[in-house]
Amino acid sequence: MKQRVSQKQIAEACQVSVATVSYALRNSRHISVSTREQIQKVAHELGYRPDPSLSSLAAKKRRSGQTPFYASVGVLHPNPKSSRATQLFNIHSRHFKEKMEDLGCSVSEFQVDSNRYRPERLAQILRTRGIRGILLGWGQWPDSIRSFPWHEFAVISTERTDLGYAIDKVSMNHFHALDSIFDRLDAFPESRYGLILHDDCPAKTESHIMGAYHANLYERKNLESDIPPYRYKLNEGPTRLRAWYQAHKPDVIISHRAIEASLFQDAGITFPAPTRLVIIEIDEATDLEFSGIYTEATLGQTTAQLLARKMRTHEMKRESNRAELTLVNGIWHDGVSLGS
Amino acid sequence: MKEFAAICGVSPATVSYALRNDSRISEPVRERIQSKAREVNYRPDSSNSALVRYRKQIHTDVQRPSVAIAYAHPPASRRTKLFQVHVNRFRQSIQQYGYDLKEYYIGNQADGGAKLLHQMRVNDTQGLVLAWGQWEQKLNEFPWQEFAVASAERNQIHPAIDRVSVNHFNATEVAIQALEVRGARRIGLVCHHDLPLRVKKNIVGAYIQHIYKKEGHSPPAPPYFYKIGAPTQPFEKWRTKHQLDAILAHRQIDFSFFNEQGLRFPQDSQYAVIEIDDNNAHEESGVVIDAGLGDALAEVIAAKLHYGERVDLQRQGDLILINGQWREGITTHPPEKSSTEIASL
Repeated sequence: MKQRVSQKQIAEACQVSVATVSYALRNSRHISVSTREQIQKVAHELGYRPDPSLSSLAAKKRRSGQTPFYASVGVLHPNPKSSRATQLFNIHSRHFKEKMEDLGCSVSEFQVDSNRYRPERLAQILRTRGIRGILLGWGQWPDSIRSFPWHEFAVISTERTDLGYAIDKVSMNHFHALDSIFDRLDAFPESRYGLILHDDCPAKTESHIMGAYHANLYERKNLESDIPPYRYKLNEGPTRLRAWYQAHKPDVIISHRAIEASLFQDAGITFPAPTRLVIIEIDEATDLEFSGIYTEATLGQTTAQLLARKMRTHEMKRESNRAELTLVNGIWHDGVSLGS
Repeated sequence: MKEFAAICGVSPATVSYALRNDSRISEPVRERIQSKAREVNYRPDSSNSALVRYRKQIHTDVQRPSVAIAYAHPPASRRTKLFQVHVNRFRQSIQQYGYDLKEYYIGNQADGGAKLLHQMRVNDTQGLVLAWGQWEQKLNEFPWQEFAVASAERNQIHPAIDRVSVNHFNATEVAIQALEVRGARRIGLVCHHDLPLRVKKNIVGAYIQHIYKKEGHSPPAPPYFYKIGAPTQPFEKWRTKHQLDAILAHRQIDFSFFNEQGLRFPQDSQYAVIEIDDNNAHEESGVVIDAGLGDALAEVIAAKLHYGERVDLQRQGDLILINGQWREGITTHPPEKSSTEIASL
């Protein structure tokens, strides 16, 4: 391996001290613009690359030392801790909390299940605790929550929750996920792509997935477009899936979320041959290493950044009646189900 | 101090106390105000005593902090002109946060990026917005990680940069539904031939999937691609062939194009536009973006500067989508269905 170019070498080449180089590469105002640019130019020519692990460590240290306390935020969970929705949301709320603290905000979690609090009471508790920002967790919300004074707080929700207000939302970018899946599939000879959607998929998500599916078929005239999507019901047996598979003979299956591998097996579908399988969105532990797009830490982190931003907007007392949708790209993972 | 207090969202008195480190203000708030003062380089004007208050009109030469906007094309280009309405709103909006706007045209200069960087350093500008345009390799070597950046261009300039864009998918759905409640049966889609691929996919995808969703649908008419200055005949042939009773265009098209073949809206066909930039002096029905894009860009940049956030090269940027509002113009009929029926759709 080539030896790393050090700051010392740059200092010698520029005839300045190592400290000057260090300041200049950090673009510090301690050094004049012209010297800075000269040193940066030499560093570039020598092929200097900062050690990424060192500089990210330093940045983190700098941040945690300097970030003043900014605000308190709350995560509201509509269902008990043990519910499937709250458990699924756990991974996101963990990353959310880490990033929020990084930004100087403390995070408290609230279980608001089974009408434990009347909305006015809940608002009062949040006010008393100085909470200015709210993240809505996953699950079923009681109807009474509609009378909660949302306008008093900065509120962010992830797409599964739709309380019908002008609340900003964060979601995985399903459209982009389909785009990158189609790009990857271009390397394979198959041409019959079948879609599987869970029947509890939110309507907006479904339109995005179907829209991206059709847009990509439109751009690729060589692909077949006569396969209707299959709607999977949680915990169903293999009969309907087998019938769909035999009627339409897809040679590639694109599934929105992961399904137990055994269900495919029982329906007579094996991958990667003769059928390839790729998953659009994976955020839970699965029994098999699927090929597809994992949301990992990104959803929680982006949600934190957005809530911080919204609190800032709120603080400026700016009217913001429009709800924004922020889309997060996942990370591609080569599992076993696509084949090579 | 009044301006700075507005930036912090507190009263001028609170600012005054906090900067004197007075214990009447809680410590977290004091720290926040002090760090904000450092960020925007605010110092109370010591000469601002009662004696000189008469001369308020004489400004000290303290420079307000600035945010930059960079254009890929010259001021007279189509993309830059289309974007102006959003820049104007952005300027207004970012000023409320205490920043002035500085504009830079990169154009085709080979060293455009280096010049921008130099200027931003000289002015100590830490926030940057990228305008609509074909950026290609123009800012290839730019040290993004030193700045807070938001791109209005939907195509990726660097994968780590956050983008703020019109929600074309949603706007297409809104416009189609609006045409349908106004009696449209067969809607044809018209796109400018040079629209960016990502936008095209969103619009065409929303259009096709809407038709497939309907019970007993007939196959969708293929989209028509319009080129400025091209003759109208092929368009009219397409319209007749697919028996269209409504036209949905991505962007506004000069009415003379349709008039050439005697086509009148809404008598001969209804007509709506998916993306209308501003709400002034236009007759088309369609989805209007207006203040949304400029405001969102300002909110994103101001918050990034507030929290000291810079482009994180290890991360993929996010896409922030702004929804438009349906505007009733003169190119569509009034709704056929009552508002309760529309609500239940």
